[in-house]
Amino acid sequence: MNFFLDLFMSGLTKGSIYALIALGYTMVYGIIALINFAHGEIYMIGAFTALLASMVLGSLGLSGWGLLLSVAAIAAVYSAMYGWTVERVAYKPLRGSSRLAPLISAIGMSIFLQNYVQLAQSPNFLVFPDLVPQIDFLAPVARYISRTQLVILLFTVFSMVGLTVFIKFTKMGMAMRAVAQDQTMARLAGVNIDKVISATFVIGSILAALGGVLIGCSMRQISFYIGFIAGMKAFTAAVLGGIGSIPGAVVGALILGFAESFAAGYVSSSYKDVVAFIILIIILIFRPEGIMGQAQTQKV
Amino acid sequence: MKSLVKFLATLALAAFLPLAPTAQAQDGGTLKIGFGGALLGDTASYGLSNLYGIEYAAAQVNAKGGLLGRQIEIVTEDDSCRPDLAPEAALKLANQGLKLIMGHTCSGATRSALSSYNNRVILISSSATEVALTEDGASPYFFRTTPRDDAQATIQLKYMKQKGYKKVAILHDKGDYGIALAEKMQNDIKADPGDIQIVLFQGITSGEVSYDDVVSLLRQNEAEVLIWGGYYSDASKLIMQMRDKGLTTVVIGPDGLYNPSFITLGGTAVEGSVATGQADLSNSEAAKAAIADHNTRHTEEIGPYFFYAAGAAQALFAAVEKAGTADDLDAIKKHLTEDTVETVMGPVRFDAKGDVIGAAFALYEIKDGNFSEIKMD
Repeated sequence: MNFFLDLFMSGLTKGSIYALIALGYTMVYGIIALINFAHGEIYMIGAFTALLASMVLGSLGLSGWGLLLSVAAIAAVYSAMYGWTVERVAYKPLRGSSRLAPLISAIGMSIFLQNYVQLAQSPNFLVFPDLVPQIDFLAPVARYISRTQLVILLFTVFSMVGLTVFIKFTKMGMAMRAVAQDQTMARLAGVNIDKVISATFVIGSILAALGGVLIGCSMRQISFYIGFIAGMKAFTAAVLGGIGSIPGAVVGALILGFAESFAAGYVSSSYKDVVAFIILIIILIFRPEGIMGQAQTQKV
Repeated sequence: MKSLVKFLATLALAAFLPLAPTAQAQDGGTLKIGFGGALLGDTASYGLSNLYGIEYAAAQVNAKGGLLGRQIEIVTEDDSCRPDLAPEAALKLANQGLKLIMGHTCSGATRSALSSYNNRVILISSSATEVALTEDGASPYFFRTTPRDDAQATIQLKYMKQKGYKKVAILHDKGDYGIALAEKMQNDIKADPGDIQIVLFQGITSGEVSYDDVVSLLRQNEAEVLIWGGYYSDASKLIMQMRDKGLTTVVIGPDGLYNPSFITLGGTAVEGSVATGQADLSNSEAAKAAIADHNTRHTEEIGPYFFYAAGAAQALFAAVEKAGTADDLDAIKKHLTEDTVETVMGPVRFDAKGDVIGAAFALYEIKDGNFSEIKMD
């Protein structure tokens, strides 16, 4: 039973991180039907920004929760700027061209950002400071849930609630839903499409940056390459949940997290990726549109 | 038709281009020794450590009038320890007509470089530890001064028995290096288990966002000690997550952990972990003189492979001197395998496979943020 709980918590935290990144993929896809391959890189830039911010703020004497929250805020803002710029530079000029052009542009952007960080920062693994303060009341249950895991879960839950409120109850959120349903109609109704698309990239980037900060705290080392695996897994989660669907991304991410964790525990960690992806394939065979995705009707 | 001719002509031209430098023979002036290895990227420190050792050996010879009456000049090519870049580096060296090459730095890169050299050069590595490089017998002109990976399991197992550990978990990173180490340990334990029992043998995914599930596995199987096959980055992450969850399993790793970065990344979490590493040779008089000499040329530290590289170069130079030629590979090989040369790393002679005779690993425990050697009898 203890073992099961261990694995459950491990799957939950893994899934939470995948979810934060997967939301960016799925939101962008929902709005402009583009798979933003540079998204994993935004996550990596979030982690690097957090590292730099924590050094500066730490030397200014900030510590504890204040440090963690302000570092997360700075990383979110900075990554949001990156997300916005990437859209303006690499995708906007290609809007209306063939569907493959922005896809290639996205891959190019991903490679560019990776190499840029490698050259501008460091090709090595860098030490990420332990930003999560000690949480005393956790000590008796630290075996099941470490303080970092708790913080990851809290951050994820708050982000999800915030995102839901934003999408459901704000004007921009409503505009996003409108653009996702029918871009032309939304434009006719007076929605500023450019603004909505930019906002989508900004929000996706903020979530990815939070993921970057959290994974930095958990692994305590980062490199220019971390965006690749995390991005790959998150993208998988988004497809699994039904790309374009926001709750789907969360469900897909959690399924992937649990599948990996339980496969590692009950089958073998050597085969956990195999098991996780077999589950993915089976789900996609029976529901090609993903768990919560909507089937696209082909227009002839 | 015209375009086809044009295409074929281009192809023919392209085929001839890379051959052009081969014709260029070595000039009579300096004797060029090649060095192929990591000079850029995150493994550059390993490559530089090798290069410094070679520089030292060459400087000693040059000060005494050179080798075969010629001054030694070192020609370097970077491979960044990447198997995909090594063949190009190897060809650049071999196509200059070089016959004597030191390197490469990492096992994977050495393996792919060997096929490019295609037995045209004498290659001596001072840091490539993969067993098969010499064991498969495919490269008669390849030698190395570093002990092989299979020696790591031997000393680790001896240490575990001495400590009385019983439940052992073996994990690897699913890479060539890691799997080879893990399997060797598994086979060694199976051959002579004593009280030791392998409770877990698995691979984990490198670069994962969390290793909590692996930590649960270790706890579930009540492993007292974890044998790690892989490099320091994944190991430090895994150990930190183990300590976060209050798991105290001792970690014993290969020379991939015998690196200051392991301690920098792992911080206090890796305290008490054990790593195998090349034996520390810096205490002899000759070694101290070599370090002093190195410090007159560079501000950087000598690094872990300095003496192995210097020893390799000294053995090579001695063999060339005795053979009286820098071009006859078989004559040089004969002296490398038959004569014992006194070098800065101790006496060096190679066996028929190309491994240095008598090389051994040492064990280091991390204490107060430093590697300190564990004395074993």
